[in-house]
Amino acid sequence: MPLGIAFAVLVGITLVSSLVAESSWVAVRAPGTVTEVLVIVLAGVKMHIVAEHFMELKSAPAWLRGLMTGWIAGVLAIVILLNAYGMN
Amino acid sequence: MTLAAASQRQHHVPVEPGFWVMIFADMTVFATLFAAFVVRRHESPDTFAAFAAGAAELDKGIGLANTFVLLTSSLFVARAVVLFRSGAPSRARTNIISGLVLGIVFVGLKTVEYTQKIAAGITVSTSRFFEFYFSFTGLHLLHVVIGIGLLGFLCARGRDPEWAGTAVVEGVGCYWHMVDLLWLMLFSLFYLVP
Repeated sequence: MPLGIAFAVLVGITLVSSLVAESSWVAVRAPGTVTEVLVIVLAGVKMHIVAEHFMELKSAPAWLRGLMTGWIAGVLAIVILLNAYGMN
Repeated sequence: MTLAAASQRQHHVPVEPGFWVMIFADMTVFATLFAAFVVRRHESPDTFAAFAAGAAELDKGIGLANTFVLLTSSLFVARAVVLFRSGAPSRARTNIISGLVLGIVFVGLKTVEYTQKIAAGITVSTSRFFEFYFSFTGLHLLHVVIGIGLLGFLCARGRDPEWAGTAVVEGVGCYWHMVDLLWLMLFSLFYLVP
């Protein structure tokens, strides 16, 4: 993915996640927990795009890509699971 | 070499492997802070309400603007790394300067946001939420300021014909992107989730 396209996708996802968080249309149709998980997952997707295309990890060895992907997945899992545990 | 071709190299470790130890150590500190934020939010019904009330006080417009500013800055710095590697140091320097200016804009917007909060009587001791807000975003702001200093260093070196080694440019670039990457989660946690 060229840098310009990656940037456009990042801007698009940022707008979507802001709309999801703020929209009353979404709020009445989806539980707050679903909205929160969606916003966190979208943040994870953006972090992955920054790592792959801006940090150039798409052309890095597997160990480095794996570390970064693992960090992002770990953060998402911790935030989502702790949030779900707290809700209950 | 074109921009697209220069960014398609395979199995290249940006910077030296040891540099990534520092990057992941820093990112792990922030991961712990993200976890602490969620745990504290759910500590009791009072803290949950305080986090919701605190988030409602934040200026989402400034938060969103700062996200776009940092993403755009990262784009310029990413382009600079590719241009430098492909033998266009002058154009790379122009992109570094653009990224640096946007970093200063981020600091300016953050200062406006802090000033508004303090003028409204909101400080670090107002609630649990603002304790986290000021400390986490303050720590991130410190990283931004360090990044601006590093970008400034590259610009200053840009006056020389051979102004920096590729590893130095890649290292500063990766540090700046880490700052961007961490902000994406901070923005979601503080401005969008509560």
